Amino acid sequence: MSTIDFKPGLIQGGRAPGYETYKHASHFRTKDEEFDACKTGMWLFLATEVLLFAGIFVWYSIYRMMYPDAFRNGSSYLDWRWGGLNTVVLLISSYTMAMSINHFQHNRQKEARRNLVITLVCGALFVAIKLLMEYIPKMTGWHFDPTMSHAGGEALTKFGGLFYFEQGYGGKLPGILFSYPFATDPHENMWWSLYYTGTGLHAAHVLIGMALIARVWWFSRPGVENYGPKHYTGVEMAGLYWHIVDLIWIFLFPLLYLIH
Amino acid sequence: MNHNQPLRSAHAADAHGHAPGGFDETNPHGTAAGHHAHKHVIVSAFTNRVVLAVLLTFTALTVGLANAEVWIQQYFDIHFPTWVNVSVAMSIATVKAALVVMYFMQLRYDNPINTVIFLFSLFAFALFLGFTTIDLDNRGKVYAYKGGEVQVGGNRIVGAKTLDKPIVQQRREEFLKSVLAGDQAKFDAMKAELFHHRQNYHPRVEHSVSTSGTSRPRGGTTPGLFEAKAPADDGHGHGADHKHDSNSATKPASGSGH
Repeated sequence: MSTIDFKPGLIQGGRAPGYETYKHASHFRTKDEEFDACKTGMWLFLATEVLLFAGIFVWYSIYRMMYPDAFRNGSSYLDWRWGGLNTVVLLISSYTMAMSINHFQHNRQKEARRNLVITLVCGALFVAIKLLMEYIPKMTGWHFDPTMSHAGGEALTKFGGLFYFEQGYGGKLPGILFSYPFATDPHENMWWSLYYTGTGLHAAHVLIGMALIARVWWFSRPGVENYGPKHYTGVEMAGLYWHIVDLIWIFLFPLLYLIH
Repeated sequence: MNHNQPLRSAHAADAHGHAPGGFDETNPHGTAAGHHAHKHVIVSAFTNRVVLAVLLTFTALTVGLANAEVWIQQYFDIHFPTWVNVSVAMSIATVKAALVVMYFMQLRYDNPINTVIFLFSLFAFALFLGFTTIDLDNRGKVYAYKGGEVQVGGNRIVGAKTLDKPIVQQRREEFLKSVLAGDQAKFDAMKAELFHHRQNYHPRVEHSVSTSGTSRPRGGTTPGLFEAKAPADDGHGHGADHKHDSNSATKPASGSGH
C-alpha cells in the first residue's frame, strides 16, 4: 500500500486546479474530517440501499419456497449468456471506477477521466443489453438483430430488419399485464413481477450511478480539475454508489439466471 | 485558519495533531489527531487488477457449475437437490461481494465504523429473511388452528393438533381414564375431599340474579345472551319485549328484536 504523496502544479491560465483551492465546509475542522464524515454518511445511505433490495431478495425467497415450479419455469426463459455478459460488463466498470480513483489520487487526470468514460460506456452497455436483448423481446416479441438477417424474410421487421417479430414469444409481462400464452404454471406471472421489479430497480440504480459519474467527469474537465490528490470526495462517493450497484447485480444474477 | 492560503500547510498542521504549545483551541479534544492522522490509502492498480481477475474467474465458475449441473442431470441422470445449486451459487456470489466491498469499496483500509454500518445492514436483512422464513414455515400449524372450531379455553396449537372439546373437559376425561381407570365414584370422592380444604370455594348458585334489594356477585356471561331467539310475530314486528317497551314511559317502542 502506498499513500498520497504528490507535487502540486498549475493548470492552464496559471491558476491552481480545483482540488488545490478546494475549501472544506466551515463546520469541519479539516478536509480529512469532511472526507471521513462524507464516507460514513454514504455508507449509512448504502445500508438503506441494502435494505431496499433486501425486500426484493426476501420476496424472491418466499415466492421461490411457495411456488418452486413457477420459478423454475420462469428462470428457464432467461438466457444466462446475456446475464453473464452483463455481469462481466459491470465488473469491468467497477474496476475502471476503482482505477479512476487511483489515477485521481496520483493526479493523473487524463487517465482518470478515461476510466470514467469507460465506466459510463459499460453502464450504458449494461442498460442497452438489458433493454434490447431481454426486456423488449420478452415484453413485446420484437427481437433485436444487429445483423439484420431477417430483412426481406417472412418475419415482420422494423427499422430495416434491425428488429424482427416472433409470434407468441412476447407477453412475458408482470402481474395482471401477463399475456404469454404458453405458460405452464399458474403462478408464472408472479415470477415476471419479481424479475421486472428486481432488475428494473437495479437498472434505475445503474442510470443514477451513471449520472453521478457523468457529474464527476464534467467537473474534472481540463481547466477545472476539481478532483485530485488533495480532494476526491465526489469521485469516492460516486464510486461507492457504483460498487453497491455492482454488488447487488452479483447476487441478482445467480438468483435469477442460474438457480433452477 | 486562513482559507486563502493553500490547504497543504493546513493539512500538515493537522497531520501533526496538537499545536506545539500543548492545548489546541481549535481542537480541544484532540479528535482530529485521532484516526484523522492517517493518510489516505491508495489501493494499487495491481490489487485492483487481481481483484478484477478473481471476480471474472468466479463469474465463469458459477456459470460453469450451474450449467455442469444441468448437463450431469441430462447425460448421467444424477439429480442434485436444489440446495446444492442454491448454496454453490450463493457462496460464490458472497465471495465476489466480499472482494468488491473490501478492495473496490476499500472497506479493508477504511474507518471500521463503515464496516460496522455495512454489517449491520446485513444483520437487518438476515432478521428480515429469517423471521419471514420462520413465519412461512409455521403457516401450516396456524392454519390448522384457524381452520378448526374454536373451543372454550382455546385450541392447542403445539404439534398442529386441535381439540374438539373444551380443554378443561379434555383434561378431566384424560385424568379419569389414565389415573382412575374410569372410576367415576372414586373421582367424585377425590373431588369432595379436595374441595373440602378449599376455604374460599363457593359453588355457583344458579339464577342468583341481582335484584333492587340484593346485589349478588356472579360470573360468566349473561344467561341467554347467545341463545338464538326467533322474534315472535305479533303483527307489529316486535318480539316479546313489545309489551314491556310500550309500558315504559321513557323508552319509545323501537323494535330492537328482543
